[in-house]
Amino acid sequence: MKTKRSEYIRVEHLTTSFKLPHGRRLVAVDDLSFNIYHGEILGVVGESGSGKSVMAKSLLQLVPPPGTIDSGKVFLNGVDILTYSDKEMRSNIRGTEISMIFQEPMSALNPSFSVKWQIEEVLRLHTTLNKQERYERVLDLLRKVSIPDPEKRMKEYPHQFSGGMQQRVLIAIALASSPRLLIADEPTTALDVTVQADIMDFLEGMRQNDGPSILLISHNLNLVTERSDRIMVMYAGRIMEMATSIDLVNNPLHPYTIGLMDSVPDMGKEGQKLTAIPGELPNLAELGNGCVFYSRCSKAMPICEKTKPEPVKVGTEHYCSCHLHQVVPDGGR
Amino acid sequence: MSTGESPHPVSEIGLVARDMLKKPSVRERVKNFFSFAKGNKKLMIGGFMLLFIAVVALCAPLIAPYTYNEMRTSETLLEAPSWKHPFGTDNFGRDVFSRVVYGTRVSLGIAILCVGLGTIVGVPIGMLAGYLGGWFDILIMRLSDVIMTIPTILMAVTITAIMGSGLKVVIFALALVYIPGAARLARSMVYSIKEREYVAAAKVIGEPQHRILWRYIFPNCIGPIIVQFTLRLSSAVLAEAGISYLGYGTQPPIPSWGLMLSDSQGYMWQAPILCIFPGLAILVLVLAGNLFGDGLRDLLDPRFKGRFV
Repeated sequence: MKTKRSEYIRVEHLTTSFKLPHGRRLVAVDDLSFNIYHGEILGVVGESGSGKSVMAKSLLQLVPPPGTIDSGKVFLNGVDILTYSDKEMRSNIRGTEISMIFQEPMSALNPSFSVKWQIEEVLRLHTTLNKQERYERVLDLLRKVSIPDPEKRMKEYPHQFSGGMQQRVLIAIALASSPRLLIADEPTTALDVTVQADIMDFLEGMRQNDGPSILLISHNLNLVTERSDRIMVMYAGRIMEMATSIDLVNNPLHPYTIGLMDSVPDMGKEGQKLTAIPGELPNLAELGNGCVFYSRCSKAMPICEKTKPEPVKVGTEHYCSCHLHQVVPDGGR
Repeated sequence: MSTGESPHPVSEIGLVARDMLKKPSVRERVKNFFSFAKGNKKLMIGGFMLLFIAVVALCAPLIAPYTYNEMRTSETLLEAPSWKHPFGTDNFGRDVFSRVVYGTRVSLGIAILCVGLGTIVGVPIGMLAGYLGGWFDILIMRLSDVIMTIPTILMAVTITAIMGSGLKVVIFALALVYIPGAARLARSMVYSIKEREYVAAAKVIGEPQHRILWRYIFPNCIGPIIVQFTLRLSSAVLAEAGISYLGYGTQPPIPSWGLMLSDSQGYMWQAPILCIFPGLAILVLVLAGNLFGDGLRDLLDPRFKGRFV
């Protein structure tokens, strides 16, 4: 936000569903619209099963079967990449424009090849560098993600690295061909807290040198509010609220967001009571016409059972899908 | 290691430190291998037995005192073991020791050929079936079910009945029998591995399908396939012996162990010792294959990668 922000990717009405037996469908991502600016960290929070990962995989068109992207558009530099064929995705998008890091670094690395081979592989696929140039680039990348003694370590195999180091290697792989968007799907969940901070510091630091935008997916609200510029709160495949992190922390509007905030302990408040959101995520295959949060909402109204609230602009960069806020309070300031 | 990038001359200690960081040399790797293998008795014993058998097969003309077909009818037939004929002589006066030694070539050769062929054909088919899934998978698996329901010997006998007996036909028939098992194993390995996160990660960086199969799935399912290969060597030796025993396989005078067993059956009363040595040879080879295969299973655990592989 230091410089003028330009839009990198724009997602419109993205819907992804999974085919169930007996002709039923489970809608995992429901009519999602949002955008990501160049160089920004967009946090996505939501509980397990809220469609965060499916949304990320939809961007890459890698939804595992029986899932399909039913409708929507994903504009990247003005082109709708959802119309791309698998081959076009492979050569133009995956690894080059959009890259991804995973929750379990150990299982996301190929145990049969050295770390060097795996980083080099991206370069072999997407660049015309020769062997020597690739070696230099691998070395450079490993230095960048602060792997000590990279000349030696790059010849080792994934199991010879610690969890934090493996995640760094994954980041190096993801960054190898300078993507413009890095999807970080729970990047630190499997790591211990000190390593977590290290990795997040690194990801945040990348932005200083013209690094990629980051889509930071997590169920850890603290982590996301601390590290991202804007936050998208997801529930049952829909966006509940989207705002800048400062806005969201200071002025949460959606009952679900408020519930989430109240369930996180705050070190500043002594004797604070932690509240939980009652109930659990509804069965996505059996959603009615109403608001997806209706069954658990403390402020539910009769209208909530009948119609789905649409996201409404309630402030600068602040959107909320709730019937409580359908009428813009003070002129949409 | 490039020492040129450091602006300071590398000190004596630095050199030593760099030496220690170097990739293990071939000698070190071999040393590592043996120190690991030492703890694995099955692998050691099975390995040495197989090595011994392979040496015997390769150096048969040097080891055997006579050729496998040298008949000495003027001397006593069906002679008991002596210094001159350690395993005795058979009904044609041929030296049984020499025949067992030459028989190693036949038995081991046939076993390796047919299991090898079965694996080379079966594994790619199975991997494709597992990776693609759908109707191709169903087709391949049902076909392999059909082949697997037919007992090995019956299958081999049927094929020899159609194509005539002989070495090539036995190899072909046994290879056919070994295809479905190899395909099934490969398929089930691919099924479990294609769901791994590193395969998803490979897709994310834009790997094409064939490279995913070859570089991400194949290397990670090769371990059990190699183990299956060695374990099946011994079963192939038995199968070849069985077919030859029935008279459909190797034809005389080529000395296959199974054929020697079958020949010696007619002289059970006159020279019971005749059937002992080819039988023992089969036992040793089967035991060696099984021990080695079991040991390999532990060795090929990917966690030991980087130490010596």
